[in-house]
Amino acid sequence: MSTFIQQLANGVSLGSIYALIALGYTMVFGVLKLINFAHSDVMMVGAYVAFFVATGLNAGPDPSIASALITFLAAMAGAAALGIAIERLVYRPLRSASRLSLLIAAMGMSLLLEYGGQVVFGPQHRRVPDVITDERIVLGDLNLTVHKLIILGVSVVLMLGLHFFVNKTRTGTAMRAVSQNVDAAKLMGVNTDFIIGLTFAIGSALAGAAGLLVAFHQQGDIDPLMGVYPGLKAFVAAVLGGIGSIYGAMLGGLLIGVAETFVAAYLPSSFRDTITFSILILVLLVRPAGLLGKFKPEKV
Amino acid sequence: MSATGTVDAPLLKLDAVSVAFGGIRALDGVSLEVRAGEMVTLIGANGAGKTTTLRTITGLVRPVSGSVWHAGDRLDTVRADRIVARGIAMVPEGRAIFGNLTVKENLRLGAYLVRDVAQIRRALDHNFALFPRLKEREQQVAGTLSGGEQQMLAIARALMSSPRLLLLDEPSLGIAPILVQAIFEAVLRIRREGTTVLLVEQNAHLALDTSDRAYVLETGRVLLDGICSVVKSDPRVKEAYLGEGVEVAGGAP
Ligand SMILES: Nc1ncnc2c1ncn2[C@@H]1O[C@H](COP(=O)(O)OP(=O)(O)OP(=O)(O)O)[C@@H](O)[C@H]1O
Ligand SMILES: [Mg+2]
Repeated sequence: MSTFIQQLANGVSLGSIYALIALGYTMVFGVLKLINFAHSDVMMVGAYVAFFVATGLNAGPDPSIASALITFLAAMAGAAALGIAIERLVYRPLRSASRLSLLIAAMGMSLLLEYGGQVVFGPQHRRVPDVITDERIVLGDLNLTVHKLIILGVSVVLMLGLHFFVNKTRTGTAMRAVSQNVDAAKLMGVNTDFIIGLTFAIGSALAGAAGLLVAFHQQGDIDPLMGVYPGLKAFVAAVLGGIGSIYGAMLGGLLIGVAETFVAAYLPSSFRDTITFSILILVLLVRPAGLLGKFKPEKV
Repeated sequence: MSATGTVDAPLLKLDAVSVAFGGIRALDGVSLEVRAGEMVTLIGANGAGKTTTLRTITGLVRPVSGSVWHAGDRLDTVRADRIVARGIAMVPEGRAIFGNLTVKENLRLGAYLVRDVAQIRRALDHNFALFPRLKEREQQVAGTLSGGEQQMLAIARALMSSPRLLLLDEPSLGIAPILVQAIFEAVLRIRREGTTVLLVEQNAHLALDTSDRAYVLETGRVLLDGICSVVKSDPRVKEAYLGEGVEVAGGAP
């Protein structure tokens, strides 16, 4: 029983990282109907921004709430800036081109960031200094760490913020309108280019935060290809939850994180990556639109 | 052209507008005018270019030649999302409501550019007086409304910006006759209250009985235009759009 709760806690912590990344996939899909393959690499760049800022702040030997906050905000801002740039320079000029061209551009962008990252940052692994001291916290049978709690806390705060923005603000409502009907949103006076850019900014900022959280999760270890696996899992999470659905991405992320942790705990480790895709295939057989998805086959 | 007692520019004017999709011409030199206070209808067969005409006016489609004017100002260079700020609102073909949003959220989006809360309140009250069904369903997700209710919502949403010119694209399409009547009564009331209306309609009887003037579009060209009573008696219109020789119950004299 105690290991069960322990694994659940670990799974929720990992799953909340997947959820944060999945949100970017699902939001961009909502407004552009594009799978932004470069998204996970934006997360990687966010982690590198965190690495440079935390190193610059000399956070390793001298961690503090202030340096943690600055590092988080820098990772989010850096990733957001990159997301906006990719949308402006690559996807926007291609918006009237075929879906396939857009998809290929997204794949190209992903490769560019992964291999460009190896050139710019170097191919070797690096270690993000601890912006906050990691300590063990024992709650009865439960063994937690400060870093795990931060992963959970940061994810919850960001997701609540997104929930509020999307549902309660005028701009958030416009974003939902754009994801349903771009032309109709224009007729309402919504500057759809601005909303699409903003969607990239928000999704990328969440990925930037996730970049630092992934580093937390693996004792600070980062490298230019660190986005590949979490990105794949998060993408699966978004599809599982119903691509285009924000709450679906959150739910899908948690489910994948928990499932993966349990499988790793109780089954041979080679099952760990298999489980993600098995769940995906099973759910899509029963609910092709995903758990919370609303996308129906197009009517002609 | 006859001067109708004013030297003012028409509220809307299309001057030899042509639109092409790929190599196909959807509009071929369409000219039309709508004067303030008028209700004008645009009729024509499927694929004649009616929807394209409205989408060109709202900037969703760009003409390859010709120009669109609004009260003397060039309109075809204005971005689509700036059109509503000029006092032009459109009820799109197929309604295009935001199905995942509530009725209220749809209506608030109609007033997206309106910053004056009192004005939004007034527009809401006006809409609820016009369509009491919407008031009852304010918190309902719009996608769960019936087709007729969705059409009411699409019209109400367009009215939220208090437009001077309302463009309607086939408001009767796929809707139960009893709701069509309710919708047309609302349109006539909107018009009486001073909004200029350009109506695209497949039901030619209904369109010609409710409007002042009509343009008949055929494969991207204006075949004829004039006041509705004259257009109605044109043999080409009778044959193609009104069902020649068939007496329709409740038809116009
Ligand atoms: N986005 C588009 N791409 C290619 N062709 C188009 C597009 N939109 C319209 N067309 C073509 O332009 C022509 C006019 O279409 P339009 O929708 O304006 O007709 P309509 O009069 O509104 O017809 P309906 O009564 O069926 O609504 C048609 O031949 C149509 O196939
Ligand atoms: Mg049409």
